[in-house]
This record gives sequence, structure tokens and C-alpha cells, in this order.
Amino acid sequence: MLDYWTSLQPPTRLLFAIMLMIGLILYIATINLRYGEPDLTFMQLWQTLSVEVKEGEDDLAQFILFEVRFPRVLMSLLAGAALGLAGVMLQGSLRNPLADPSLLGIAQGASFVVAMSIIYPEWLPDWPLPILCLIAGIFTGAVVLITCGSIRSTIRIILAGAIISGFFATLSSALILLAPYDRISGAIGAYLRFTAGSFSSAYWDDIYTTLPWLAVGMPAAWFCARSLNLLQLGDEMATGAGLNPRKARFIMILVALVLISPVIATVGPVGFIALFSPHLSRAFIKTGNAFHLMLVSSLAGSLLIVSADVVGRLWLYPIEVPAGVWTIILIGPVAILLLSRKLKRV
Amino acid sequence: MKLLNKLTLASTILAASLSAHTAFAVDGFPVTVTDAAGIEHTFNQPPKIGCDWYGCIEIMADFDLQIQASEDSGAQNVFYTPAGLPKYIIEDYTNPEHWANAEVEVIMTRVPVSDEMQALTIAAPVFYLHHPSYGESDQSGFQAYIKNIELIGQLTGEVEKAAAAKARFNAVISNLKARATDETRNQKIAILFGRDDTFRGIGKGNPFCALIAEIGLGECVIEGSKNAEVNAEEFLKLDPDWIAYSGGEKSYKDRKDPVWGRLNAVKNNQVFDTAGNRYYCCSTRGLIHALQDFSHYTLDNDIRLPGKLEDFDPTKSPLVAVVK
Repeated sequence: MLDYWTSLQPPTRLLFAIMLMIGLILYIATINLRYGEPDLTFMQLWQTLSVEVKEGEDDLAQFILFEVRFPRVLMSLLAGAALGLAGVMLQGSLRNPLADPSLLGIAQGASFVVAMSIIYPEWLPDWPLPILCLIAGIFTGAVVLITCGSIRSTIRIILAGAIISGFFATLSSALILLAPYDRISGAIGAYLRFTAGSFSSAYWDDIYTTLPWLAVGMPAAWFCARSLNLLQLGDEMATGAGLNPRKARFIMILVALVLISPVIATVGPVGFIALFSPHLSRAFIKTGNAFHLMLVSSLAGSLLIVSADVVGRLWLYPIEVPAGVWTIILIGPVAILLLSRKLKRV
Repeated sequence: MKLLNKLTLASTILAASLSAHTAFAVDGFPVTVTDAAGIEHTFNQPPKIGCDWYGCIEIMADFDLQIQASEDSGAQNVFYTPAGLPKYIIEDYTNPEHWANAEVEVIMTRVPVSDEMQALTIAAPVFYLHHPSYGESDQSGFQAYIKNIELIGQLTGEVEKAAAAKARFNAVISNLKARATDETRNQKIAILFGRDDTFRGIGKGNPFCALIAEIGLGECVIEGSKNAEVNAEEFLKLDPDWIAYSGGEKSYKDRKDPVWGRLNAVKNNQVFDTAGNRYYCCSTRGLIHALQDFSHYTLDNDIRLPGKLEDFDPTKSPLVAVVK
């Protein structure tokens, strides 16, 4: 089976991979749309989708489907696609297979801003949270790159990332620990839920907030694919091909931040998706071609998050378990294995 | 030199005999009290109490006793403490040295027993109070808080003050029970933590929920005793009649999510921001504050709002005063 798969031409593998992932995404998304309160049969789901509600009529099932389940599924798909894509951008531009928003401290920087917005909203300027997260992400990303000195050293970047993420994680803890009691009552639950990454309160408003960013970030990432391919050949060859590697890396990291920031601001830093999706895709389609990788990694990210969200929503129903908890439980051990293998090679 | 030794020994014996004399001079001591974790504690005189938990601070305030030390500066500001602020503030409650420096003779916390707290026994014995939302003990619901009053009453020798605090709380219950109706008994209640647009709230097993059910002011709709997040669709089905919104700096008026606007409690304007945050924890004093707030909205607008926790004196609560 594996031999047969490897023997296929790359475009055929890509096509199969895309079809398989879309099929799985549709299947799991349908589960997410069907089950809850109320459960819907396929027929009811179809009817609910197709029947137009007359003005003045109050259809609860339709409300739940359109206002609760649809935006949640859509948000999980968008977040997965954005993180999967950002993972390819970060790993490719830094030429570091372990690059990920959490390992680079970007997630913790943005989480610190969100912690502040929960506990001390008056300390922050009255700007949209994605912009504040973007600024925090750019700041932490810049600090990591400045402190590590060399963008090509895997170990240095990971160490600098670990230091910066530790720094911001501790700052967030200090913020909570030093807050007066009346400020933190109930806030700890909200903060922990956020840091895990949850879609339980993802509604259309969140999609409207996220979409403009992704509408810029996703095409921009696609335009970076050629440069990403050139960077894989090494800086000298990339320069020979007319690319300015430093400038290209800067733009790619910025694009990755544009993809990551709105996701973190709305649903939190869902763990391991940006790290794992590119690896899963590479293993699946057996190519490092950024054009292919971007497509499949986006779909893989969406598939992983929509699956985690279905488990988080339905496993202990009606209790909500953040999707990020499941991504860490399910993907975490694989990611740790991956990390140990990659570090041994360094 | 010999004379000096004799003098030292004599003064030590004198000090010991004086100390023993003081210890035996206190009525009811020595006393042995078993805490919520089943650990026995014996004291020859009322110990200097260090509070690591709000339940302890509130009961001490109820008894009009000054606390020797409390765990952080936030605690002292939240509660009305007629006897004055704690003598010492413990900056790091996990550090036994801080407790020892504050000269506490017992550290009061709540179940469950933890290694972190047990490590403090180097400084002073750790006494566990009941808290049904956090750990296992033989007390559940608001009875756990009544039991805590009894425990601290025994420990401090303030049995009369304990009896007064219990009587005050029982008076509130009787008073409200007398005013409960079939309508209030059947009310469905949700108490939500509103820091984000989720439906995280306190469950039926929480002391406040157990208390309003006992009094006849309504039933909490969220199952369990933990503060879990309930799925939005399920919450819509639970459809509470009243929502008490404990959002800290955030008001329920800030909520914009579509499920929120669909709830009957919201449509019927039966939602209110709670005064303070004593709905979910930690003593009968806190519960009286929460009950006064709750009954103002759900029972009778003439019951005045309790105001800030730091100004709240339960002895002057209308819920107590009405009872003869």
C-alpha cells in the first residue's frame, strides 16, 4: 500500500491527499453540525438548511445550526487552515522543522496580551485584540530572532524561543497571581480556557473579525511559496536566483504573524497545529514543494482542529473541553517524538 | 557564673509556670478539635490564627476577632473586618518562614490536603476547613460552612460568638423561607462567571445553590458541584428564569453573543450583575451577602442591595433584622 502510494506521481498524490482530507473534513464537520441539543438526522439537517424560515417564525433548530454550530465549525476550519499555513511559512522561512508559534514564544506573547485584556482591560489601548496580538507577536518574534543571533541555528532559535516563551508565560502567571482577588474571580477559568484554545464561543462576529486578516494572509502566503521553495535550496542559491533571503524571511514571518494573530486573539493558541500539520503533510504527499505543502498543510490543520473540537464538544457533553486540550493530548506525544528525533539530528 | 546559671534557670521556670498559668486560665482549654481532613489538633489556649483561605478570614470577621496573619493584601480589602486588619500579611503563602515570622500558631486553609500546605507544618499546624467545591470532606452544601463556624468557635474558645453567627445565618434562612412562594421555588437559576462569552457557572452542588434550593428561592440549572463550562446549546435548553452574572469588571450588558440574546431571562430582563463575588464561596457571612443581593432581584426589590463586601456588616442585614 505504502509502495503503491510512493509510486504515484506527485500531482496524483496531491490530488488524492486533498480529496481524502476534504472528505474527512466534511464527514467530521457533518458530525459537528448534527449532534448536540437537538440532535439532527441527515434529513432534518438537510431540511433545516434548505427550508427558509418565514419572518416572525422561531425555529430553534435553525437558529442553533446557523448561529451556533456553523460559525463554530467554520471558525475551526479557518483557524486550522491559518495555523497549518503559518507552520509551513515559519518552518520554511527559518529552515527549522521545529518552528511553531509556541516554541518561538509568539503564542505566549499574544497570550500575555489576552491575559491583560481579561484581567486589566484598562491597561491596554482600545484597539482590536488581533492588532494587539499582532504587535505582541511581532515583538516576541523580533526578540527571538535578535537574541538568537543566527536565523539558521535550530538550537539557538529553539533556546531563544524557550526563554522568551518562559518569560511571557511567567509574566502572565505574575499578572494573575498579583491581581486583586475581585479581579481574578472567574478570570482564571476564562484565561485557562483561552490558553488551551477553545471554539465554544466562536460565533459569526469572530469570523468577521478573523476573515479580513486571513483574506490578506492566505493569498500573501501563496505568493511567498516560490520564495519558500528557493530558500530550501540555501541562501546562496536563493540569492543567485534573485531572492533577497533576509527580506524574504522577514516578509514570510510577518505573513505568518498575520495568520496566527487573529486566531490567537479569537480562539487562543491551539497547541501543536502549526508544528504538526506541515510534518503530517510532508509525510503524506512526500514532497517539500511549498505550493503543495501549503495546500495540504492548511487542510491538515483544519482536519485536526475540527476533529479536536468535535471530541471536545461531544465527549463529555454538555461539558465543554477546549479543543486545544485534545490537540495536545492527541498530537502532543507524536510532536514530542518528532522533537526528539529532530533534536538528535542537530 | 553559678549565680548567673541559677538566675537563668529560675527565670525559665518562672516563665514556664506563668505561661502554664495563662494557658489554664482560659476557659474551655485545652481543647482538641478534629478538622475537615480528620486531623486532630490540641491547643492549650486560643491560638494565633493565620488564614490562608477566605472562609477563615470571613469567619474571623464574623467573630469580631483580629487575624494574626492572612495570605495576601487582597484578602484584607475584600471583607469588612470590624476587629481590624490582619497584623501580618503573608506575601508568599507557600513559604513556612513567612508564617513563622508572623508568629502564627495555626494556619487555616481548606480541603483538600495538599503537599504544599502540609509543608507549612514546620511553621505551625495546618488546620483544614470544609469546602465542598474543592475537596472531599464529610460536609456538603452550606452545612459545610456552618460546620466551619463551629470548628473555629471551638478553636478560638468563642463558642458564644459561633452560636451567634450560626443563629444569624439560621435567621436569614428562616426569614427567607417564610417569604418563599411556589413561584420562587420553581424558578430556574443560573449563576454565571462572565469573563468571556461562555456559559461557565456554579453547579447545583455548590453551597449557594444548595442554600437557595433549601430556602425555596429556586433551583440552579447547571449540574454538578464544579465550575464547568456548559455547551451553549445545552444552556439554551436549560433556559434559566434568572441569571446572576458574576463578571467582575464586565457587565452582562457587554455580552453580544447570539445565544445570550435568545435566552428568556435576557428577553424578560431577569439578569443582574452580582454585587461582589460571594455566590460561589466561602462562608455564611459571604452567603448572607450573596443572598441579600439575590433576594433583592428575585424576591423583593425592597430588600436593599448589600453594597460592597468591604462595607458589609451582616448583623445589619435586613434579612437578619426582620426576624424576631
